[in-house]
Amino acid sequence: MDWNSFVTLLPAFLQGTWMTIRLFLITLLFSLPLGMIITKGRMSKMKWLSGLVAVFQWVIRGTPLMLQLVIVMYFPSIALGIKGVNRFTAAGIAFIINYAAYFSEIYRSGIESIPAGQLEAAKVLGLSKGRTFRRIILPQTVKRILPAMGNEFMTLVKDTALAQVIGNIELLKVAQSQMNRTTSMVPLLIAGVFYMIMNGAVQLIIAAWENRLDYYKG
Amino acid sequence: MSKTMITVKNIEKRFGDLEVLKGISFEVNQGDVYAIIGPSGSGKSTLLRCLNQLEMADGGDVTICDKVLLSTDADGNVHYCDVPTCRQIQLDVGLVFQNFNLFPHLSILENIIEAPIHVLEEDRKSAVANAEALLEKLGLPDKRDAYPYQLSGGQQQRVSIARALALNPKILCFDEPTSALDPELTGEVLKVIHDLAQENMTMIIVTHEMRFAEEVADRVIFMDQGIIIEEGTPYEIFNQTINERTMRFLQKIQNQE
Amino acid sequence: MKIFKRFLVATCSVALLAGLALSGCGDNKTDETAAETTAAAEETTAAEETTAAEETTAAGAETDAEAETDAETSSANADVATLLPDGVLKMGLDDSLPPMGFRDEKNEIVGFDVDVAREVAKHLDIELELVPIDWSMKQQELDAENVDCLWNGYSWTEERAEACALTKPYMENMQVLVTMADSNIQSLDDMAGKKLSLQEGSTAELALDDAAEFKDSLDEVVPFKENVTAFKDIEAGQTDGLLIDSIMADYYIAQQDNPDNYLIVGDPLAVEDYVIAFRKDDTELRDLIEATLVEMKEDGSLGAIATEWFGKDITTVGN
Repeated sequence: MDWNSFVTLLPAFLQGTWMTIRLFLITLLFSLPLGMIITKGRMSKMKWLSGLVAVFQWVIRGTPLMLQLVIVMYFPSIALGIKGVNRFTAAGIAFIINYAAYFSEIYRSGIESIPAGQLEAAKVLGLSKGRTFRRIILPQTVKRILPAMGNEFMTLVKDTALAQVIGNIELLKVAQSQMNRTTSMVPLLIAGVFYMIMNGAVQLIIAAWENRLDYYKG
Repeated sequence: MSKTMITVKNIEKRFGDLEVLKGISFEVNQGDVYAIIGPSGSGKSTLLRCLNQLEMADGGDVTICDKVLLSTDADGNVHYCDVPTCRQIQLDVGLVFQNFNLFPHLSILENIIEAPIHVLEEDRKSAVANAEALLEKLGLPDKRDAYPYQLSGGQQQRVSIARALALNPKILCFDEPTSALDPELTGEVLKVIHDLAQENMTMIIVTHEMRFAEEVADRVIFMDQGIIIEEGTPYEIFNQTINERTMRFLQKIQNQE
Repeated sequence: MKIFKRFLVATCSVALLAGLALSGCGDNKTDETAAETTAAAEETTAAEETTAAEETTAAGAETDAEAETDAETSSANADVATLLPDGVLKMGLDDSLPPMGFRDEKNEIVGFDVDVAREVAKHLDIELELVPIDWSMKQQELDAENVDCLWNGYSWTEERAEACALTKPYMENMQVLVTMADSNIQSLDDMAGKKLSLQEGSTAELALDDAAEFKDSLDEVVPFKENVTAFKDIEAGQTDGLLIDSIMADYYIAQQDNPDNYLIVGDPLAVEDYVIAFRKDDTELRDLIEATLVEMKEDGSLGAIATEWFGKDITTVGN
């Protein structure tokens, strides 16, 4: 594959990249807050709720994301007769649910790692539960879970490639199609560079964020 | 006779099958400094935590600043006060922790003004002025914008005292305030408590520092295995006791020192 | 086994249903969702849309001219209107199977099957929508009515004939063994004790299962997701031979700088037929497309497309 054909193909690669980025952003936009709701359920004092959420986490984290994509895409139409499920929407739903389940456990581990003394101090000072969570627990949790979340974000960038299983033309799919035409591995390497650039950005953002929270220890 | 600040009658607390408090009674008057001493596991910290509502008592009656925190009826059912009263009592009683429990992500100033602004709804300006005055008084005038990790243990404990004082509590409790400190740093914290005693602050101090207890306390309570073995003036406890358990405990402490 | 599979799918789905309901895929909103989906589907296949649109305009213009003279076409159109109310034929294909259907250097979908389908659409005065799918999900895509047909180097098998309504064969395909010329493997027998690669889920797997003796003589069978990676594997000497559709092997080898490095060994392992698959109950649509192919064979347009791609008319329609 020479330079000229790379230039002609650039729009296609960018289109695939744009699909990847959209899926990445939509997944984060919804799964970050959804994960917190799941955490709340998991940490609930009501045993039935916490148990139910634990089963949900087991199902979602215990099965391949690819299987979940296929179920979201084809179950409604084949089993329930709901036709015309949008491919991108289906991918979004599967990714959001899957990542929210993972995020929720990271949140929980972060929250539970905050020393009990922090909660007790807030209680003795009369801070409300909401204020305690927002002002005391959440900021410290963010700092603790940031490295783990950074890992997840980078995995998500690459996981978007799975969306092709239900017919989404994302970056890796574009590369694979071109690989089959050109019978060369170069398109795959180009896609690799695109993924590296995206994850480079993710890494920089996480590093900058970590840097901003580096003003305190503990 | 000065005003009664705290009345505790027959307070009980269990963790599962373990009885930690087996009916403790005492009264604290305004301006009194109470020192509670006793071996580890005697229930002294739990007693303090019950007064601060960090633990729920399983029986007894507690009245703090004329407000009933909890009462127990003839059938043994415990009734806690309603939420607003609980909250009011919470603010009347300050607590200083063994491990300081400062908020590590907030500056010293933010640690101190958080509750005055968001609980007492003071305006920021006066809360800051008040906090600066407290820091000045506790000998930390230049630490306003520092973060907890930048301070020594003794300085952190003084900040946590300032944080408790910023809410103008009527009673201040200390849960082994010097136990987490290096020996050379205990002095600065004890001096602060000593100064507060001079100002007539009502205080309950759980401590292992016998000499300090002797010097600063008006009354000393010796607890063991969930009950009060002996209560009296420091002189009575430290010099005149005829109770065998008290003597054994004091002997042991002396040997350690 | 089947029951267990269904149970598994059902169990896993329960948890997801809540999410689906939330996202507006519930029964009561089906119409809205469907409308959205159509719009979105067009968006995701933006690249093809342009091509399809051009095609339609051209087809429209031509049909106007031909409409009065060609009585046959207009009678067929009446059928089309009932079978495809939207006037759109959704063709499910793998866009990475050259030369049948693949992306060109501008990333547009081209290929022999694509050109034939376009010609069919032109004959029927309908619009052709190319829907690139994951080929391993083809049956689900068909059942979910995301596509109307599977048409992309799709070989006839007994199982497939059971599950779908298939056309008569339109082209012949062979499963051939490709080796490196310097490997000294001159026949299927020479593969004894060697490693064979193939594309997973392809009919090469079925052909291999049928040739039990040959399969047993092999040391190992290595499945690959794509033929290109399988080719790279024999080039690297990791595996010794590749079992592949002859049409795809020809394309791949012709693309190489040194086609002589490759050898298509001896006799084919199996001979297959390419067919088009429709939903089991869609036999009328199947018949219509089949009839149109026969028509195209007769008027020479099918032969012209085949000659363009393969140098001669190798189609078997009407045989």
